[in-house]
Amino acid sequence: MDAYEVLGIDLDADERTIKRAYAALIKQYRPETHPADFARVRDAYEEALYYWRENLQWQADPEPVEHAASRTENAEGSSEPASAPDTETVQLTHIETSQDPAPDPVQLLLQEITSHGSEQARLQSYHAQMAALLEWPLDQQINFEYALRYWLLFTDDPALLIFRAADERYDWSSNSMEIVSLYGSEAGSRFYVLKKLAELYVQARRKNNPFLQFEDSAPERKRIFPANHFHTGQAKELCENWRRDCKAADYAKLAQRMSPTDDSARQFYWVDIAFGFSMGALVWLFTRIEYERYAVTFGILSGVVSALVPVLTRNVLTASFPGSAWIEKIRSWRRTIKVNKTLDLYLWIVLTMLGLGLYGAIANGMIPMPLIYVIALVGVTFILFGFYKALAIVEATIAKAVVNIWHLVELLSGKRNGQQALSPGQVAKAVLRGMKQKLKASWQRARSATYWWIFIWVLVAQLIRAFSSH
Amino acid sequence: MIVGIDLGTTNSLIAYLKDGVPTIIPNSHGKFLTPSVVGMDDAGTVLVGATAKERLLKYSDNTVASFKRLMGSQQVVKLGTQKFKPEELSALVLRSLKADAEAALGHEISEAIISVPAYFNDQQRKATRIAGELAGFKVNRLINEPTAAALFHGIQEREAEAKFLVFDLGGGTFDVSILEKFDGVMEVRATGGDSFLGGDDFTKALQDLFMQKAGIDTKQKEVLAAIHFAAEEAKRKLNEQPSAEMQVVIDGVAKSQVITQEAYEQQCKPLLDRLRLPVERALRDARLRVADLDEVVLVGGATRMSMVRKLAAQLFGRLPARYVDPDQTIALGGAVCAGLSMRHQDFREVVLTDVCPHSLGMEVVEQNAKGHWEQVFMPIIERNTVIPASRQRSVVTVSDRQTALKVTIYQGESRSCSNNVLLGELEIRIPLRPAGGVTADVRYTYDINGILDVDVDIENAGISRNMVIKKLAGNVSDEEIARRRQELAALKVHPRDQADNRLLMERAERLYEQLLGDEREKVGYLLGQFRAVLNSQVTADIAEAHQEIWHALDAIEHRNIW
Repeated sequence: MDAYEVLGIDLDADERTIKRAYAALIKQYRPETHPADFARVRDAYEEALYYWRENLQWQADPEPVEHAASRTENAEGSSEPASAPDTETVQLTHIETSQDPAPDPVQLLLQEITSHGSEQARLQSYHAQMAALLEWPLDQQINFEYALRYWLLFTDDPALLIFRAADERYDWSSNSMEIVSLYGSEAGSRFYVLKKLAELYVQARRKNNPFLQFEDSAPERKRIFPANHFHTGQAKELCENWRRDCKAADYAKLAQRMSPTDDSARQFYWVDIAFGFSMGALVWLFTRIEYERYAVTFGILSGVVSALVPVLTRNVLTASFPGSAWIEKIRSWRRTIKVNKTLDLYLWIVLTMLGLGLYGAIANGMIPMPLIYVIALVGVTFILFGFYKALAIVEATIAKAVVNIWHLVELLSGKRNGQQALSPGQVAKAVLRGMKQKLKASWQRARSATYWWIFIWVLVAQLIRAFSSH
Repeated sequence: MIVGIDLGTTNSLIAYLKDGVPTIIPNSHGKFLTPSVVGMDDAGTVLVGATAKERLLKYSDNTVASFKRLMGSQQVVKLGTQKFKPEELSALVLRSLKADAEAALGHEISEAIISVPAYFNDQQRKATRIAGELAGFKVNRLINEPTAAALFHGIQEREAEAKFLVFDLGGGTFDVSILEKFDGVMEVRATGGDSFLGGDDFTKALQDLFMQKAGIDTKQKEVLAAIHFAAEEAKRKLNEQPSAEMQVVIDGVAKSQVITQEAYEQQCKPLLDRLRLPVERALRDARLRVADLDEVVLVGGATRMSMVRKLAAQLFGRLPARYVDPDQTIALGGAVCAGLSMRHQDFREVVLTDVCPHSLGMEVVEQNAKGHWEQVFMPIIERNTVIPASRQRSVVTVSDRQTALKVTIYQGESRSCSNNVLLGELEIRIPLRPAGGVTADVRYTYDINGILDVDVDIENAGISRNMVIKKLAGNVSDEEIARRRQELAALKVHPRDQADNRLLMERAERLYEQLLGDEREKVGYLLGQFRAVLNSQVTADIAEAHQEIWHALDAIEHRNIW
């Protein structure tokens, strides 16, 4: 082994010998005068020590105390970083570290904190325990930090408030490389998602948002907001989804759900497809071009070609084409690649062309009657689904409006959490500012929405009709 | 001859190796500690040390203390009509120390080893080095403060083999180092700390407590300075007695409060809590348990505080070792380090190895489990690696036909680069290849002075680039240092031989401000008497009067200030 050659010692050298050889060498190659040689000797020394620690220490060192200490290190230092640990392994790792049959005080403390059901109760328990912890010996405190962090990172039931408090106490954020080196880079991203979630959670609570508070403060909310049936279903669903994702520890998805600002991760709208088909039909009906057969061939061909182009160029055509897998593929591109706008446009052209072709085929009797019924049924379903979605949005908007009005009343009367009452002028100013922002945001959303394309297509259809009637 | 200098937040010291024994050099007042305070009087004369500190109360606009906390920043401090950068203020203190040492040793001193908190980052270190050069020193090396203290302690230590922890709470910074000594090797295993926590914060806490109890709410600099003085005195008293009385004269009215030890400890609790974390982190980095430590050593002036000692005893479950003068250990360690550098025969068999306190790395993108690209920090030299060290890691391109490769150099521990300190950037044009087609080997080499050398090699394109990160504090060139040194040299400095008399005058004037009634009258009388003797210009008389009046002032103030 190279390291042993550099140090000039045997492979079975013990710690003492390694250290002596190293000490003798660096007196020749001092760090101030021979930096390169020193670095080489140092690397060899570390390698030899590591080898000794991993392979020979247990032979040389029968002392149980020392042994336990090194085992603790191993258990915490390299506990299978890549595998997604579940609750069982969490518990195992830490039970193993305590040698004696008496339960580990660190684990007891953690159990005490986790035994509470609600977030608030847990946080209170955490603060109480932290105060008690200060009296503990330092080694135990260090163990507790490890155990707490491990639990917070890998539990299937995230304790976001405790996470926030502990992050503040131990300043994990500015030392997050340690998490990565201990548990792998997946744990690093988990840490940041949890941090973001914790922030969002606290923000949501602070804003009195009906969604996340749903379970925690149900009675109180009923008092301030009696007519809550508008959004009850939605809030419940959100909470349920959130809990489910927590349970599955799907933190990436969770973060996406909590902050869906990433434009590249937009959903693929089935409603859009349905509209695409129906609009294609409308175009056809409006225009009524005389050379039907050519139009049909053109429509079908261009539809097929334009559908194939992206598939072929992206080199992802598989055996399952055409089918749901194909849609999945497009969906996955839309998530990962950054050219959504162009792709949206392209998709619309494809869909409209296909719709054009389809309806052309129907009009010319090229498709048997039962199939036409199926197509019509699918189209109607999609349109209804779209209406349902729109209704849900309206419902939520009304609910929000009611909440906002209630807050306005509270602000004006000064009843809100002991804040001072605002003058009507101040409130009006704030409301105006808020409305301006809202309008701006909805205009931006509307501008980028695919529904604009519907409008354009209808316009084009009208134009064509106007020209063809002449 | 190389000297060791402890450039502290509140006090600075200079030490040298006298026949193999590290020794502190006294300043012109015969004291070991020179307060790190710089001031300017109405005549534009620069005052440094105890004299300047006496003026903090009355001339708070033209006097500045605790500027070490600004080191490495671009902040400018105004003194009189002139503006100073923090490194220039430090240079004035260093220059005064240099003059003291030259007067005491009788020959010129050109080289120095200056101590810095282990937790100083690259910019702060660079500023310290520039300060040394501005003061006319050749800076042999910068040594980490706890390393210096540990070096001194290690030399004293009888045991040939030991592991010990140095708990260094100075005026403005807190450092923890874990050292192992074996076969003449002094190896720093880990360092940690908080560069914004020190004895000053404890004084500030007492100041706040007093203002809270007395119901004072002011931003007036003079009043705050007066309370600060009173708080410093009370802090010292509280170490020995269960309660202390603080009295401050504001607008001719004496306000007095009795502060108990418990109340003070309660006020300092958040500060005490902040002492725990660096200790925990250092122990973890060194892979040691408290039980493995042979000894815990307290250094730094602030460890005189009983509550800090209590906390240390509780944390480590034993009584920590301490020195009679905990503020001197760092400077003495600096002198030992100078001995190592000079290859002094007593220390020929001693080698000191230090570690880099922060991780050094670069920004890379990484694909997470969901396929999203994330920008993350990739450490190349991890914190607490023994230096000098050289480490290499390889990176590959991520997109097809990538035109350039950017090496962004960061220092810190956070996975997201925005929380870390940016040290430099290197952009390299690369040949167009598919993703992953270009591999760059990035090598970081870090030397004992904290200078980072970055090499980027792209083998399959035959490109090799190098960058030395050393000019960070505002990109200072050698010419500029020379120019600024001359500017500083042009400043009028109060003559050394009159320093003692000036100190006495300033002290008497401060006491006159602070006291009331009879005592005030008495100080005024003494001051008048001393002025008269000074005007007579008879050296022997002046010396005699100086001594008498100094003792009289001591008696009035009931304590020795320095």
